Amino acid sequence: MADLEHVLSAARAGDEDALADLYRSLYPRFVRYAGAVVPSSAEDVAADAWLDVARSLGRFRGDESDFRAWAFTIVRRRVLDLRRTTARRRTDPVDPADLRDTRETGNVEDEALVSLQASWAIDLITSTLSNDQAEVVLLRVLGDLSVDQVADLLGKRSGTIRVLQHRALRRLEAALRRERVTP
Amino acid sequence: MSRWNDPLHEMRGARIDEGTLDRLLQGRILPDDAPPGYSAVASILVAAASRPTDVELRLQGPHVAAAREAIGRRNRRRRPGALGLATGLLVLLLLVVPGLAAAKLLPEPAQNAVTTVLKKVGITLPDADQPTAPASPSRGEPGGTGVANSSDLGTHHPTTPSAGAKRSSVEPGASQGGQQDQGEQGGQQDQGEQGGQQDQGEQGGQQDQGEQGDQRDQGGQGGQGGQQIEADQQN
Repeated sequence: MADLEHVLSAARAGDEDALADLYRSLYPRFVRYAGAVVPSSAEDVAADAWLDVARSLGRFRGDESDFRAWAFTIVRRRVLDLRRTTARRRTDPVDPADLRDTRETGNVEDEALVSLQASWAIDLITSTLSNDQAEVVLLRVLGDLSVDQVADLLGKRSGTIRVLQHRALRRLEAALRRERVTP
Repeated sequence: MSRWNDPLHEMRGARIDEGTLDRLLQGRILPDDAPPGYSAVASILVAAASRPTDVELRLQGPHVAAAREAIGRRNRRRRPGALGLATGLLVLLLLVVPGLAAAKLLPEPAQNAVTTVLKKVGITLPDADQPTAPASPSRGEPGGTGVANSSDLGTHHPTTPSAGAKRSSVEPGASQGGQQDQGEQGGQQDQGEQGGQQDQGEQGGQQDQGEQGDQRDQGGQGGQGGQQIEADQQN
């Protein structure tokens, strides 16, 4: 993205190009993040979060890193709202284990190197890791957030986040290794 | 403990330091550069943060348009704040300007303009060229008009002495004219005349200025009669 300050300034005034610039940098990541947590409503949540971001641009102050953290705070709040609404409706959330069971796996490393798709990678992350681990990894990867920003967002200590991400990568590595050696 | 070049060690994945882990999560380590055993992990993480595809951006047009509309609505909602401020200032101006005009504190052109405008809506204000009355005519009492004419009365009707003088004892606003008359004629007056002048003042306040002289004469005469009755009653 071009100089964020200029982009934000133009976007606040309703400039289409600036808004498109922001959209391209945020919306796909919103969809991927929401798809990992609430797969059936990912695009709706991402669209709502995008509009929230647009409406609130005038209130944002900070640099590019702060902007990403701020934007992901908004999309995460949308996800939590949807979860609460879903809980009130007494619908059953999708069990990540079900997703894992239905996925076909072959030579993971080869597939990853050749034609990995973002959604496939995210599905693998969410199906392999615990919820906490997956959320930390996704916020760090998709939101490009620092450990401290993730800690603030999740209401946890930075040390806890570090432990979670270490365990997450080791678990991911172990799962991929098993897939590779499994005929 | 396995050695670094042990194939099994590589398969199990090396322990990675904090900096390497951060760079892996930021997608800055390509699969080929990843620590042993983590190339697949690096591939997964890079893929997760890959550039958006056209499919993901297929709704860009409507979404950006919706954002523009939302921002436009928000900006329009902010404008009434400035509009409200301007309206408040206008109302304040509409209150202050007539007040200043009533007090004749405006410059002459402005005073005339405001007077003309307000006259059209039924509010009469003094013109800039109209001399300021020494007394306060706004009280709306008969004496107010009578005072302005008291000196004339005294000039034109010297035989009806001190209409203003008598009125001055009744109404504070008439003091100036009253004193003038007193200087000329006050010494010649008796109590009965004073009573007559009081009556005359009451009458004059109810009549046109042009008629006041005559009326005051009559009033003076009537007043004398009235004063005699009063004197009789007192006796």
